[in-house]
Amino acid sequence: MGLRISFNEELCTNCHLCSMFCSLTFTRNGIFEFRPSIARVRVVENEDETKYVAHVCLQCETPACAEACPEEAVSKDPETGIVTINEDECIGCGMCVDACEFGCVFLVGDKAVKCEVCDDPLCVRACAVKALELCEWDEESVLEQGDLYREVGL
Amino acid sequence: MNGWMGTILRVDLTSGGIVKEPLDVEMAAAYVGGRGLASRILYDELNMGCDPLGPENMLIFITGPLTITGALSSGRYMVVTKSPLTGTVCTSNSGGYFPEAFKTAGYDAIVFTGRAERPVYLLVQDDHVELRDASGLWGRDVPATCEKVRRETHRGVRVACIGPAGENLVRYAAVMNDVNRAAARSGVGAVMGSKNLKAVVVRGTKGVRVADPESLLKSTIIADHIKKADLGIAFGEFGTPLFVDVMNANNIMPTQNFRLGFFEEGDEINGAEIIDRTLVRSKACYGCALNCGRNTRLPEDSKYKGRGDGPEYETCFSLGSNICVGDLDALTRMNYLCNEMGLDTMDAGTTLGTVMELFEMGRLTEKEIGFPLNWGDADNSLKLLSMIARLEGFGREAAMGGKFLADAYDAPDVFMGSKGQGFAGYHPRGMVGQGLLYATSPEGGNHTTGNTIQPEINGIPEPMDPLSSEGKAEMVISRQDETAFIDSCGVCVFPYMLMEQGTEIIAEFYSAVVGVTHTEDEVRKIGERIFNLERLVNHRLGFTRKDDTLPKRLTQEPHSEGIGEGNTVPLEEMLEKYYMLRGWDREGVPAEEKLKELGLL
Amino acid sequence: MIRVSVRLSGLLRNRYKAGPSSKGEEVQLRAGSTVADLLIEYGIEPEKAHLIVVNRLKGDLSTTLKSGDEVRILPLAAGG
Repeated sequence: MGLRISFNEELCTNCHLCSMFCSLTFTRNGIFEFRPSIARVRVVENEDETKYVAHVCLQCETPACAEACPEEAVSKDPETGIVTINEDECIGCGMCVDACEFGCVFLVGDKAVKCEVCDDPLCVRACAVKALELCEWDEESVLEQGDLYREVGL
Repeated sequence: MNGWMGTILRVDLTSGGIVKEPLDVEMAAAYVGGRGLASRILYDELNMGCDPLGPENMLIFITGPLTITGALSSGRYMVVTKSPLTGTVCTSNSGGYFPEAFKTAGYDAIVFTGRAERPVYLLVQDDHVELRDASGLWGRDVPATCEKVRRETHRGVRVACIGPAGENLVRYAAVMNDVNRAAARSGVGAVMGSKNLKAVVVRGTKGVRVADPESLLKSTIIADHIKKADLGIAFGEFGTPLFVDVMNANNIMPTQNFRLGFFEEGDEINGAEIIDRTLVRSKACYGCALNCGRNTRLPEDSKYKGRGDGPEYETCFSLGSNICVGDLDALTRMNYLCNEMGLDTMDAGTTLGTVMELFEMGRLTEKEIGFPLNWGDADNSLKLLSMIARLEGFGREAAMGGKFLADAYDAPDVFMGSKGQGFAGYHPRGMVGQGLLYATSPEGGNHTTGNTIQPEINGIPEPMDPLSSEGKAEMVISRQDETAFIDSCGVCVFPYMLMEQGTEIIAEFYSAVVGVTHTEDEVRKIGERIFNLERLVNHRLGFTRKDDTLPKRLTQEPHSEGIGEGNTVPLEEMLEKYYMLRGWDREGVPAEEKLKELGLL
Repeated sequence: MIRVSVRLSGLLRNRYKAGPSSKGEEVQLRAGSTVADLLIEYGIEPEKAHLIVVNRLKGDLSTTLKSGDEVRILPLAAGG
């Protein structure tokens, strides 16, 4: 049993609504903002624009980000499989960002952030073509998505 | 501040001075943003008599309070200026991805004045703003410019720029963004070129505040409904070229310079043909659920090469039926060329159509053009478009536009436009309300200021006879006012136009973002204010009833074979009613009473 | 029997597979058939046929067809 947000590249239209609504989830201090630069899901296109790719954490089995973290701020929940970054312990060194070969960890200000699978993910709600879905973790589709992320990096 | 970013950037290209100025909150509340706010700035500050291609003209890049707020299709920006093509105030609207960067960099608008001594580009990265030398970019086409700029600055920048056409002051040059999107009409690219401004390059990381995010989440549900409806499905599947079939079937697809309303080869250049032959995938603008964009590529076996976006419906008309080109590959290549050079595909087509008719009449000869230009000659059309962008040979004259050519070669009735700008792809003889729209649009033959297709052809909200003047004045006024508000909000008209309750929904979104409730009626009132303001500016620029015209081909020549055969546009009749209902005098000038009512005096 | 040429547009084209491409196809019908009969032949619900054009002129469900007629059927769509 494990959860993640899956991405179907064939359906993506490069609209970035996922990033917009993801960012809304994470605005702070009583302010509501659309701020795509803090989103935990980011969309890029490849060189000849044949692919639109939304990078969202694969919740890896052996997360390279966790291994790289000098503060042990990154951990994987044994039940849900979700990989989380402890904000208080994170020192913003960026080692996890470099370690992730899939381009799914981001530095926002002086903290590292990544998708931690919201209960009611707004990215899934906002995606008008159902390219993003909340689903159960399975190795085959994760590997496939990983290959795509390596091919079309951020 | 909710919705707006609260800052306007003032860039004096003559001195190189850059100033950040707080947004006038009262003005923003009254004129919203986009078209409305920018027109107000021009009204207050522009020397009306100035040369549109001179240093005194103001060039305004502007978004709206709803841009990047989760409202439906919330990703648009506008370029507003005094047009070198029409001499009127004009707003050119574009989507793509640039509007997001612009907004999140922290500015509601950038106002350019003056002229740089040497080519420059503006680089904006949040609070950091600077003018940079663009001599290494000048002369490059749009894709090459974007690539070089990205390498010089940052991979994540979004770029709005001109191509050779803008640099050469072609009167219908576009400001391109994200390589293939265009603020195309009214020659805004020429104004940018006249200021030696090659590009505006932006990266933004700030946030857009909203008052009531819960209500904005509703947009995801509305988007879902639209996308599940036949209309939404068709739009995503075929894009705007879907309308080739609609226009052709209704005998309103302008063909051969508006002589006809039906194009025999329409099926060769429609949405289905694009799917069959050139479509790579559909794409959406930033923040929009409707993937009407066409990411296309010419196939291996094609005579022509290239890839890009489009053609859109308007181009299927202007560089397709209008000039009798019924070959999708050729049309696509012309479309790509216009994008690469930074040319408005619409007036490019109007100009070509004018040349073809003048050539047919013998007013223009092979000697003058350099080659024959018969109806349907795609290869020579491509040649001429290239010459226009680079001001080579006859291209130099053709760069002035269709009206200039028709007048110069003694056949003024041949120009299919109003106030100097070519019409869009809706034949007014088959939908007369659109004729009234064209005649009264602030920037001439523009259709986006209140397209009448939904009421006149689709009968939404209720059936109308497209051939009669009945109810048209009221309908056009309503469309114009709604659209003025929607545009000024910085969102795309499409979804609001597709839904019957479009005005109600934008009012709700406005309230949810800004935190100030506006009813549907209040929204229309603001739209009316904005439209009247544009009229006022144009009046100051010397425009009156005499300029609210349509060519004889539309008002006197009977419509061609098919639906609506024999019909003409009863313009004068509709205009009388229109002025009266608008509270304008018989010269089409807003009366003092109306101006007071709208707070414009 | 009569033969008419039919072009379906937009979503109707996809749903009802009008010939090899959007260029339309020839259909054989009983003499005296109307547009309504044609729609039944294709399995298209009458409400879906927003615009019916026969030989370039507006028709409706009751329009009688004859050999050589050109029929276009469009679903509802907007403009832009």
